Amino acid sequence: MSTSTVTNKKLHDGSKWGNPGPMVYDMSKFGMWLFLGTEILLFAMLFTGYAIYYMKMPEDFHNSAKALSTTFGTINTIILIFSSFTVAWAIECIKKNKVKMMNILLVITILCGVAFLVNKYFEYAHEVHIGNLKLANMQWLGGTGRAVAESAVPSMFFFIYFVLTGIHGLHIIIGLGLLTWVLVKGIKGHFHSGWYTPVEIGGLYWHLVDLIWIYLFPLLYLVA
Amino acid sequence: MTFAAKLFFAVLPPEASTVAGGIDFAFWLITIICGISFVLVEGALIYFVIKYRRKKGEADKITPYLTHSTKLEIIWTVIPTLIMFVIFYYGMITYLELKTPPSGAETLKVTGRMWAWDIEYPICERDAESGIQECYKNIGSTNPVPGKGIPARNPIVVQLGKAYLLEMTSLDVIHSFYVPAFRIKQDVVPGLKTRQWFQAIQAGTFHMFCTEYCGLNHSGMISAIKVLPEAEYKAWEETTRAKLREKIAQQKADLASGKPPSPEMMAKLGEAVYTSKCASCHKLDGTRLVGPPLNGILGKERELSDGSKLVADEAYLLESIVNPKAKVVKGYPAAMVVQVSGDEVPQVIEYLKTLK
Amino acid sequence: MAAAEHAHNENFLSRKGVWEWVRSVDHKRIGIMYLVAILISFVIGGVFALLLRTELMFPGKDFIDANTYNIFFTMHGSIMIFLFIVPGIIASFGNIFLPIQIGAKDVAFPVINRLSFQLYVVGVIIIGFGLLSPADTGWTFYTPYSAKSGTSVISLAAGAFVLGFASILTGLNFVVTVHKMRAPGMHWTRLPLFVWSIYSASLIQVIATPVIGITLLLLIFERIFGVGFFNPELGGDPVLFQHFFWFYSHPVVYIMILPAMGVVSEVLPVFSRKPIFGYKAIAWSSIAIAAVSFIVWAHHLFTSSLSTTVAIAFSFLTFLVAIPTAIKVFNWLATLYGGQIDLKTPMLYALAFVFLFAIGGLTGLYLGAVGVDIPLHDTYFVVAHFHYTIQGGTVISLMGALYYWWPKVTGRMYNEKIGVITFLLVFIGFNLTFIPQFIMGISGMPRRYFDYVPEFANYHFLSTIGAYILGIGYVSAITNIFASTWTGKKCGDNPWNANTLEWKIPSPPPEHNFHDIPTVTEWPYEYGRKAG
Repeated sequence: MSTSTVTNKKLHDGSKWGNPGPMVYDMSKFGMWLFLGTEILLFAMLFTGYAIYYMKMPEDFHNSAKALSTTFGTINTIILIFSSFTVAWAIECIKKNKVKMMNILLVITILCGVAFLVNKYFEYAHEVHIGNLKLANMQWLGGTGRAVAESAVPSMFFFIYFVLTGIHGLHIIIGLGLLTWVLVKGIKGHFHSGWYTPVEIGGLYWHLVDLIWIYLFPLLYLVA
Repeated sequence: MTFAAKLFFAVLPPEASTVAGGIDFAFWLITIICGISFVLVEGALIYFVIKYRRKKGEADKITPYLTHSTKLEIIWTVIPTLIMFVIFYYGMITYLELKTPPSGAETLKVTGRMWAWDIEYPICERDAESGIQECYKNIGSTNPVPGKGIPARNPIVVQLGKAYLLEMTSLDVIHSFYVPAFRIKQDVVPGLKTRQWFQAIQAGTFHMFCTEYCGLNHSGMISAIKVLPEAEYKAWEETTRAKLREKIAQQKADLASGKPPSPEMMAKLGEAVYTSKCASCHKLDGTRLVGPPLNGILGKERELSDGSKLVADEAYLLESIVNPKAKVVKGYPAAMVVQVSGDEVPQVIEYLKTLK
Repeated sequence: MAAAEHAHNENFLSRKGVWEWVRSVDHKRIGIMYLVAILISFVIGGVFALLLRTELMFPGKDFIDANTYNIFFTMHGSIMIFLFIVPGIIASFGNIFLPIQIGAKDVAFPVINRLSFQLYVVGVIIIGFGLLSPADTGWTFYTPYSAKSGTSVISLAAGAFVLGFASILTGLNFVVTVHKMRAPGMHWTRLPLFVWSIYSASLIQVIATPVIGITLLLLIFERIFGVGFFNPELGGDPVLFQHFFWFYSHPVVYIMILPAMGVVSEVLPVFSRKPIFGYKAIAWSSIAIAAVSFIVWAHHLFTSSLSTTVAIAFSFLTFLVAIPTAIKVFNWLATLYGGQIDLKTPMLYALAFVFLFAIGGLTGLYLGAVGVDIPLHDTYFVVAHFHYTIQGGTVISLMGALYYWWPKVTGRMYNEKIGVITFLLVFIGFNLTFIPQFIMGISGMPRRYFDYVPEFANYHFLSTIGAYILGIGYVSAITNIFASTWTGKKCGDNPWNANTLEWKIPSPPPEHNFHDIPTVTEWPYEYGRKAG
């Protein structure tokens, strides 16, 4: 292959060899979208499982879903939609170099995420209390799993409910970690209108977490 | 036949069922297609390598600058595609034949479990007077020593030329019912009913394997199918029916006399139950398998999975057979799935008492 | 002038010390670490294979017991699949040469690349912990057995989950790298075919791996929390696990084989001094294989409980994947036509790949035809078929890649004579191991059997002898190539007179590959017009 030489083009214009530039922004966004694709596929398999079992036992799904508190679910949905809005606003702010405003909005977003988790904790506690969490091997978690497991066959709906919300909850925690990291960098003054790729990446991830919840909510809470 | 011919033509098991011929035809058709393709592809490869080989000390040559040929690409896309259709077609029709049971086939209920098969036949005897009914069941059809050839013990007997429909399920994990000579294979799945049919066209005894990995003794889950010509089969059926009638008569006699059978009689019956239902997991020589060994179990101290200890008595044995998960011996899985019927339980316990 | 000379002598291996390797984000160093890790896994997995074959040499129990056998075949499968062949050529030679071949100084996200290797190590450690009570489920983890087995299935599944993450990160990195970091003039139609194949395989990694991740996670939940997703006692469907599992694990065989095809597409033109024939057909067939690979998974379930219609539909789709594969083979053959074929060791491996892979592909036709598959399913026929494609394909190609590219990495040439002899050992041993397995499978020998009926004794004996020869062949071939690092003669920057970009830079390559990013003006297969 015959080659000629162009002027010393820096290695992907990266921060290590020069100023963080548009190429890093471009690549990071592309990479993040791909990663979000893998996340969606991960949940897609669970939704497939949901669909298969729903077709097998629609009665079970309708009846079990009645036991869920729509109020809890609705409050959480509103919290997440609001946080999606604040994180989007934060990105707009940094584009206009309003660092302080961005930091405030990120704090609000993080608080929303925490509120979601607290809410979810009470919901789980309630479900364990009324006995929907009838998982067979739960003794070692300190519950009264054994007696419950022997007396009743647990419902497939609740298996799916706990797996879906559990894995989603895990994503919320990861998202919170990511946003906290962005916030710390923001407070230290790393970002400005010329360099805000991590803010945008963190925001993208948070949108995904919210988006998945938007699907989970009707599938789990409104199916009754 | 020469050794080479034997190697090539005798590798397929005997064609002992109605579907085997069709599948073998498809098999040989694919073999011919693959054989020709193999010769062409590998022949071209070897020919090119020899012909265009760079000889020792040869100078660099100017080779033809060939980069593509749309015509060639189309040819070698279209021809394989057409061949694929042919192979697909034969795969499809043989599969349809394999999956479409003829009407009026006799149903056998097959249950797989670790590591034996139970087969229920529709061969039943009924005593009109007392209403007692007994059906023939082949319990625990397996051969624990595969290295010793086709098992003589407890083969599954079927009649030559009669169509059978197998209705299958599993008690524990997935197994697969495979008879190479019949070219049939069907997974046996817990919680599901799967079906497979066959009609034997050759008498003899044939291997029957489990082909879905099912744990420790998977390779010991070998059994045999014995195909009998009509006359022999009828004789076998008559003997089987006689045994059933005997059993019913025994039950009737017991009922009439109102006195329980002697412990020796119970132990003898218990031994048969033990061999078919318990022996694949519980050994009697003191060594562990899936379950603990059971020789001399009575009076022994047991340590349970929750750390408590007790001395094995009859009540404990009864509970453990009826509800195996209630008290699990430490270090063993709570995996017992075999169901022992109500009248068999005291027989087994009586048998265990006799062991040291 | 002196400074320039000094710069020329500096290469990516110049800085010594373990710490330099651990902290490095250089794609070449990460690639080499991956290469060493996967080859160690390969040898360990191979030792397990030999132990299995030793037990199977004669009927009856004569070496290890059934329980140990079950553990060993699980270890053999898991190590070979998760630790060796899935990262395989992509993570090793893909890492070392993909950025150089497209004219980039590194991959898009060097730190994430290092994270991928770190996760790989974590995955290995998690699986290692499981060895305290090794799993006996087979690498396929079929439920309900995997939910019931008393062994440490969780650690094997969790390890595989983490390895899946490493695999996603590598794939993601390569997709972005190929899209965004090609040198000026490196159009899609000028990409080396190795890059095309790694790109297709990376796409599969990114799309398919999350599915196995969630499936293994559900299995872990089933064991820890008693979730009944796949448990028939709780209303679950054990066959659903197989669907989920193969939805990943079928495409994954193309993650394994596509890069191998890429290596062959590089080696064949170089050693026959001809342009690759049908560049576009080979590149597009890679993408076609990647796409079709997602809609054929249920052919692993022909005997499970599929409805007749579904089984036939999947049989049809399965044949679709055979067509692009056949196209590749024909194009390789056409590349040889009229060339000046130099039978150096890398070329021998490439030719062996075409030979063995053709057998693997043709025997696949039996298994795709659903009626014929039924008696062959889960027998040694299947075992032999996938060893012909995966070992005869990917491993043979990996050996070819080692012989082809290691002189580039170190700047030193291996011993050609030993290379050829060890190749012959591998080739003969391989066929002796697996041809008897085809025959046994046709006769009905089921797989994963610790013991067997006496009819199969002769075939098993031959197969075991073959396996020993194969083992000796691989170990000596790998030793030969690595020994060249210290004992080989210096061989210059371009010993094969090849045209892809990695051969245009010094051997070993400089730390950032190119001092100046090159501008590409033509495709990399410009052989034939000019002599040499």
